[in-house]
Amino acid sequence: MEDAALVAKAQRGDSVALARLLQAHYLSVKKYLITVTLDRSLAEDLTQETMIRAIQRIAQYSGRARFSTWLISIATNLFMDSLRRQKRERRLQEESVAMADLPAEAPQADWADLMHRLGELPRDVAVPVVLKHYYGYTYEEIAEWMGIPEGTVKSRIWGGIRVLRRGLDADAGE
Amino acid sequence: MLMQENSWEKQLKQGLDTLSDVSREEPPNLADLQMLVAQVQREQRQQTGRDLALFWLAALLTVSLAMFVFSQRPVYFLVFQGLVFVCLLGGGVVWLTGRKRVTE
Repeated sequence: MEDAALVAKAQRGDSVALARLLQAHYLSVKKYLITVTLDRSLAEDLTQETMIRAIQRIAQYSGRARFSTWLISIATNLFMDSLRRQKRERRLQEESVAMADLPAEAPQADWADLMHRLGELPRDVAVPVVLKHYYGYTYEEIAEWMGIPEGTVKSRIWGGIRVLRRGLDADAGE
Repeated sequence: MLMQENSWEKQLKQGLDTLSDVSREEPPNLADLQMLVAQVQREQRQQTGRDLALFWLAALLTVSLAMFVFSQRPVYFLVFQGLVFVCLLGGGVVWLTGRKRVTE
């Protein structure tokens, strides 16, 4: 059954339809949260929080955006809230980012350095970079989800890209 | 320049694809999710009930207090009503003046 039909049923109070919707999107939300948090256990927690928030707000879903996009916006809000609330920013930056999650072959991979640099970026810079350049969302959407002006999103993305490319410039110079 | 642009984006995609690989994971089963839905909806109903009860209680207290003051000290009641009226009027004037300035 398509999302739209399940959403309509869920909004009429059909809990099975809502459960099916959440099941269908669970892993894509988790995948998204891993890419922005670079932390699988935090991503798992936030995925569950996203599901709970979606259950609470299903009546408010207008259907303007795709259901998956709506879930991504909830997940982004929750992650930004958690950063603000618990000041995880510093802890995330101090951690050796995601190395525990890297597959065994990863340290040799071309992208390993880039992932380290991505992990070292402040999360409020890394998140828009990933949303724009990995998922392809628009500046407008990112600004809305993060609760910041579009211009700020652009400047954060440009700043983030400059840092990510710095390592490549160094590699190229060697 | 273009090659470098492609290079970092390619590495970003490869890296994130690998790190966020969930292809071997299973989503929670439907029964668990149904239980979660039921639990969250039950908690929401309870919260709404509590909020509504609190609202009615506050409204009842306010009305009772107003009636008590009116029956025991009608002058205080009228003074209070007058103050509320003046505050509302003042607030309205300030708001309208501010709006007029903005539109000018």
